[in-house]
Amino acid sequence: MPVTKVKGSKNIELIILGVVFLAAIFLYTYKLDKIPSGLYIDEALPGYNAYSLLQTAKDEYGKFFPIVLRFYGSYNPPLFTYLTIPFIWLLGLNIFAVRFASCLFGLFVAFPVYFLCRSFKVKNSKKLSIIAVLVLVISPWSFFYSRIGYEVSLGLMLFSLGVLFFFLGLKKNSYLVLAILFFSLSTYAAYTERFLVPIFLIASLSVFRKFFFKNNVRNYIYKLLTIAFILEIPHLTILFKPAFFPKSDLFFGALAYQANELDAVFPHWLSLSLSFAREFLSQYLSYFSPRNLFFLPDSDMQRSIPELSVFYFWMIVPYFVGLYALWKDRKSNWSKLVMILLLTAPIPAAMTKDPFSTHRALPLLFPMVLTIALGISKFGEIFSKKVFIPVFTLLIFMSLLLLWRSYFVFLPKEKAKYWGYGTKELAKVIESTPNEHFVIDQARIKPIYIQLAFFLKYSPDKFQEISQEMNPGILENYYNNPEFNSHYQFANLETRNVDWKEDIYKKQILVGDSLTFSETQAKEHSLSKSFEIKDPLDEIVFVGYKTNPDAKCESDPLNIHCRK
Amino acid sequence: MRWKIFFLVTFLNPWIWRIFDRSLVVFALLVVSTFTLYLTFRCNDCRYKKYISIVVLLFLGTFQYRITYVKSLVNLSNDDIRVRDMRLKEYPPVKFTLVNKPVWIPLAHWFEGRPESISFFRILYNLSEAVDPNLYFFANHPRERVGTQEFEKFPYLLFPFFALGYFLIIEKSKQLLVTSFIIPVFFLSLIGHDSKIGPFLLFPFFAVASTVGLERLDKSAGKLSKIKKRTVCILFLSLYLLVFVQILIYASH
Repeated sequence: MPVTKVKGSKNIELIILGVVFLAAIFLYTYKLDKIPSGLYIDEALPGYNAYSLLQTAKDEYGKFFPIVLRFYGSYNPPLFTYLTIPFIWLLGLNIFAVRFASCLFGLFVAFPVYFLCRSFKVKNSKKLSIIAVLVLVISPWSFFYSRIGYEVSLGLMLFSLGVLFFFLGLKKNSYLVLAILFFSLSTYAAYTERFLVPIFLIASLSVFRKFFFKNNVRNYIYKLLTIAFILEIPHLTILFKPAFFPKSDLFFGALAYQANELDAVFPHWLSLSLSFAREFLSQYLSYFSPRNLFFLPDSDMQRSIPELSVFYFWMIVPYFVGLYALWKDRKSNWSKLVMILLLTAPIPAAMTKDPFSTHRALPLLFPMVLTIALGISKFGEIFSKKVFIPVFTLLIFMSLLLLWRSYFVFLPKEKAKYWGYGTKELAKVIESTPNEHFVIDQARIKPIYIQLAFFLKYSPDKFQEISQEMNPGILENYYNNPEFNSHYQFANLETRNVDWKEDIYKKQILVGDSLTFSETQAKEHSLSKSFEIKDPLDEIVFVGYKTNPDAKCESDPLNIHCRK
Repeated sequence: MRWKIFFLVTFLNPWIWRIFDRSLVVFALLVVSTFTLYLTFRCNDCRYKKYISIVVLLFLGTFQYRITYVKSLVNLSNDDIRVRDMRLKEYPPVKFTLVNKPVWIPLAHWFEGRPESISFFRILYNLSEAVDPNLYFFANHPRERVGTQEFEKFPYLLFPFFALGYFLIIEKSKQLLVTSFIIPVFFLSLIGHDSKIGPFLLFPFFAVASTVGLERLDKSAGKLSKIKKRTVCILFLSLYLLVFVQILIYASH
């Protein structure tokens, strides 16, 4: 091939990639702080803790750079919060700063996807890599989790970098050091990777055993193991503490019930084993089901885009073609790698009780993108450019239209109440009336303390003091998972359950959601509506009622609080 | 051994007996069509049998259509109307300027109001149900449908063999995949499969693909010594029976 032609095609490739990436940056950052509407607690936690660490080098409880962050008992891996610190420093404590960090990590996944495809020995790896990047950036799965302030996009980025260097390491051993480094870092980034990385490595070692048991590589493995051991020391120090495994209750809640049904016929151990097999396999298979991948949104209302699944419906065809292409080329290293990824990525998520959890199974996005891209590129081989390019362009355009409809039109309105919409407005109300005392009911609302601290930009120093006061001995027992106390009192607010026997006799504003207070209750206790915060669908998310102790005591003079 | 496997897969599953219980004619047609489909796959020069299998599948399709409660692709329930009206209001006005005149694009109406788009999304919904492997191997667990009585079809132990058989069928006969899987799936996407015996039009394909996959296991076991082969066989059968009893218990609840 003439040199100029090669250069020309390389330029075209770079131009296409540049355009795709720039368009993706625009798409991923457009109205980032507005959509999803509100700030969810899981975004506020890393955001405020990053702010706290920036100001005091301690988290919300006053713990100096913890190995895992306690938050409200979830013990999240810390890397995302630590990497959010510079963004908070640069952009301030706001929604954009928290989401922008995640957005960059999500966009960065395009690089390992691109370079991995380029290293595959397939017919047209250039075309495949461009298609793969396109599929990745337009996929609702990547789009959604990159635009929210969650740690999972960082986990995916580090894991995919680990996979890239692992694959390159099969040709040049020195890359394996980088692979181990990124794999290890990913275990500090997201919960799923903590389980997935060892599963993936064991599977890969057994599939590529011929390579790893070569004499020159075997010696290298000892070095890699040493590096991995050193990198995992922080985890090892808390390995046997409850903080390392705080979500054990998520594992198969329905198992006992299923086993009970079988107990009449089988001994209990067999019932339990059979139930486990069915539960695990059904969950596992659901991650490959076209229904979940191309048609239905996540069953979690907060983590789903209305009327859109994690990929577009038309991708079902390249998915099947891609799977077949993998099967056909199953003896090649690249195919083995993608198959290992496909088969191992859903395992941690399949161990939990939630059906098709897109959040926990995010690493599956990586091999799925490769499979679908492979399927699309097969069509590129079958059809001429004149047919393939217009059809593919049309499909991309249609996908973007569907994304616009679901994400930019429906989601901000229909999902606002699930995304903590109203907390910012509530913080404004609280801030604008410093002489009033607010009691925010926690009986029906998820812990709200951190969102309020976030929006009020409450001083981390003072907040740490309050946290330690509310949770005595927290610093000594930090990794032992002491019970979370949702009772917080800071600024002019308090978060706890409303005490109907006492609170109505004190001068304050009681805050709840649409079901916390009824009209008759308000009348009975002489409460007057102080404010109302509605979501974009005009449904009440917060309502505040002002107490009137004098009027209440008039109707109930014998009450102990009135006699005082 | 081949036929033993074929009979094991075709008859030792709760789906075929549920069909037997509800409609003897469909049961008989299914047995015949599964048998001819299997013969078609096995036979290298079988144009004649191919036609028979297509005719039998046509008959099956007719029965599927008659038995299924076919929902309209365009009619909306009261709740659908409520959601549609709510969503029509959610769209921002979309326009562009052409020669100083605004041109309005009724995207909201195109997406939510037009009968073509309503039926398109319905077809996609039906398609999603027809191609869900969990429907066939786990009674749609863990994402059971609201308002639908799910039932067990094939023992889940067969799934890996079905997947293997699926690829082997594509490798050997793409035409068989089209006639026995892709066309029935399209048909089910149009009519849905709201009936007490489910999308039985796909039964022959699932049974044949699982049989083909299991035959590969048998072939691999063929390299083992007689005792080892027998042990594998007994182990598999015991496990199969256990799973079969397990799903029968779930089916009876």
